[in-house]
Amino acid sequence: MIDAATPLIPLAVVVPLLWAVLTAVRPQVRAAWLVVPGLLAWCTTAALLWSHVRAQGVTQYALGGWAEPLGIGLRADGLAATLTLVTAVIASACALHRLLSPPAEFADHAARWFWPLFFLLGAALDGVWLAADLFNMYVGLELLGLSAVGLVTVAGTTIALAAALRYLLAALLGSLAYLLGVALLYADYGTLALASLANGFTASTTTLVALALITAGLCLKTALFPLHGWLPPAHGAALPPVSALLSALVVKASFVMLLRIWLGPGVSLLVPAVAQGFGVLGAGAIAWGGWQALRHAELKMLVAHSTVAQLGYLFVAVPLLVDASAAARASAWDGVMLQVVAHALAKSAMFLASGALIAAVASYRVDDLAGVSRHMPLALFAFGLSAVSLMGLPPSGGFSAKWMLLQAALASGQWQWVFVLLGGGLLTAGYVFRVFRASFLQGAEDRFTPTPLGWDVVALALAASAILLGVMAVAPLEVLRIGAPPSVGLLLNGAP
Amino acid sequence: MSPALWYALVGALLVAVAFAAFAAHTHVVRRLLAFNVMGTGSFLILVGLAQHERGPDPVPQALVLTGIVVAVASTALALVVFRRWFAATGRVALPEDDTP
Amino acid sequence: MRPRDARPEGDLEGTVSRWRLAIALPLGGGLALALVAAIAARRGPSIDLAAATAEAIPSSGVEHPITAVLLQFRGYDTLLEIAVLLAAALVALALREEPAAAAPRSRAPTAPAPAVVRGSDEHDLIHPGTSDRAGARAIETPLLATLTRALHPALLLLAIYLLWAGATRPGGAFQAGAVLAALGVLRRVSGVRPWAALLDRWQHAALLVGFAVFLGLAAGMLLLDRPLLGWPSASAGALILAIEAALTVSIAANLVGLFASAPDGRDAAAHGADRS
Repeated sequence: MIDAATPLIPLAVVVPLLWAVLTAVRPQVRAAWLVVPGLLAWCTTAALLWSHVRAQGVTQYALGGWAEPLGIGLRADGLAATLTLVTAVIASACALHRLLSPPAEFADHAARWFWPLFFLLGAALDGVWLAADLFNMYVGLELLGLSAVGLVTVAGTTIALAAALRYLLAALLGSLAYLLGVALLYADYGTLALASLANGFTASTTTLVALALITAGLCLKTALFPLHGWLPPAHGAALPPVSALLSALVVKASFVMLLRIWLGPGVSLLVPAVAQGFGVLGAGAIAWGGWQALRHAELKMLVAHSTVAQLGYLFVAVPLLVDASAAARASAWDGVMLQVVAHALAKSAMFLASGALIAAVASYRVDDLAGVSRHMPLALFAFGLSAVSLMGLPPSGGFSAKWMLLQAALASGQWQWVFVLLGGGLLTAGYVFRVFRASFLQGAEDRFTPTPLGWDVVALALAASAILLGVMAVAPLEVLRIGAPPSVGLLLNGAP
Repeated sequence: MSPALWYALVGALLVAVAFAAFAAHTHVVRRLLAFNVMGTGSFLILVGLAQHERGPDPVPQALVLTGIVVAVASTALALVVFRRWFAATGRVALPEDDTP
Repeated sequence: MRPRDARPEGDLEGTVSRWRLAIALPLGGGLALALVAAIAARRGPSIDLAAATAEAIPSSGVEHPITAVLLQFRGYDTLLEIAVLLAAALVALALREEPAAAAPRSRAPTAPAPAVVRGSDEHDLIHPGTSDRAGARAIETPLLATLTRALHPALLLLAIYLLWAGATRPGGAFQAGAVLAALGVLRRVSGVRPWAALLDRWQHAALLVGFAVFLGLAAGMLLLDRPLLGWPSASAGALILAIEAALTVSIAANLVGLFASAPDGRDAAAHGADRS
């Protein structure tokens, strides 16, 4: 399938890689003249790719002209194209936050190395979204992990060092388990390409052990409860734009890989018991993450625990994706896709808004936010809008996502997930209202540090897009259904 | 039993022993050593198991080369971060693991 | 944050608690059983990728199958792998400069000073802002110094040979880079560093050149209306050799940089600034 537009697929990886090199030549703390053209090129590439996939459907790309399984293929389906676009948009927002930061933020020497690592992270994300090869996913995941760890250390504090180390140990263990699984699968099937792996995939002992290792590794990287321990410290200790990228996108990379492997070659082995197991862990994540967010004293740790909980929704959807009627499966697919995108937008907005609030009160504690409602209405409004989506209140992307999951659970008669979904919403409401309660208390007026208005605007734009996603979910959903796995996509793809 | 299969079995043993060490220790450098032994075991499985019946296969050998470079980079990065942490705090284990 | 002095030396060994062991041993045992079972149950694969590789070698521009896999068929993996190495090196650079900046926080960031005293080409152990630590690390024995000096030409020659041999037999950028890196580490350990001024000035460029050349040529193919990494068959061999040469330099520079830039644990605590 060679046509004029396909170079867009590799360009989605090449453009950020190119800017990683350019920004590393003479590392500077704030090279707007260099960074902004890079962001523009990246967003343009991603937008063109998205509209290409929207118009033409799933597009494959043979790297070096070598066909799979000898060579490595890239595959742009609706999910990959949408996530590439969302990555470019969120990364640009985080970059703008960074560029608009006051000079005090750049006092540290390590700050000069932010940009190359930032672009490497972006390239790794795009690489994982578009990957169609097990080993290529491994390399992409390692690039993602190392650049993410690097970005955490850029914060320059001792706490960030410890968090980065813990994150790195978890990431290394996770990718090694994954690699072991890939080694066993290669021995069993003689190929690494997902497409050719799907032919003749059977439940041999080797395959089962391989899938177990791959799943364990990727769940550790996705911070699925109870393997989530590394996430809150790392996401809490990083700089706000880095936390936003990590929570919004980086943890989703391993989830998307899980989805591609289990709903691709592994779908015949995703028996109800396994799928329900994923659901139970997801429910555990919602409960534990929500509970921790309710009781943590620091704002960023609250938001980080909220990520643990919100990732739970993705896994609660798994039993609905396989162990249900066709209509329910289709609804669950829409729900999980929207949850991925809506959480990415809302959580990045929330972290950027939290960064502004924390800078304004010069404290990490939720209780110190007293009075911030009058001083920082815009940042608090952005925080609130993103919270609307996380709680699943209408009209928002989060609402549509949870509504579709709820419908799938009702349609398949799996009442337990209905309670989990509703209870999760209540817990979310509980911890975000903690923040509001603290902010609307009366506080001393003179202790606020002024923060750039641009920070609020960037956070607000992201939060607004999370809301907008709920109002205009049809067009993104149509694209997200393109190339959906046959097990969930028959109904979707058959629909006009 | 071909030598290639032996490689895979020894690799499996190395992975298991190193994994136990990784879980048992809190000292970051010991955990990194365990990680490296685990990596070596995985590479032995990757090459050994694939070549067990059909003889030399350049694909897993190339994958292992890539894997080695990635493992070296990760280990080095971890050591750099660890030594900064150690220089700052004098601790060899991470805070949460430090309680006996 | 506790200063290092507050802890007894024995703790530096790291202790293994009973309950950790009680969890670790069954985990390891279970993993061993699972892996052995998986290895024993393995079936013959239906796809013979080795045969497909052998068939495609003649059109790849290199004779050696591993090099062909690394830089032709799976060149994209290698490109990302070099990016991984670069990411690690960048973090090392970011953290290396920290001690100088962290101690007096108020001091404005300064560019790293020229690394060494110009003109001296031996025994110059000085490194930007870290002279005491670099000096502390060097082991000055006549044997090591003589050995390092003697090994210079041999290791350089070996690296070039390995690079060149990669096209037809085992070898290539990785092996050559590792040999060069070993030389670099020896130079640091022994303190015998001929041409240190020159090499330090080009260190940053050396870190980047491999990835930059690889990415540039790979993406350049897009401009020629070819796929990414789609080397034209006529010039594939030459392009791959050029990439491997650049990669050799960068792999060596990255590895040496990672070795050199870890802060020495022996220097005092209290550099860190806790956020609370």
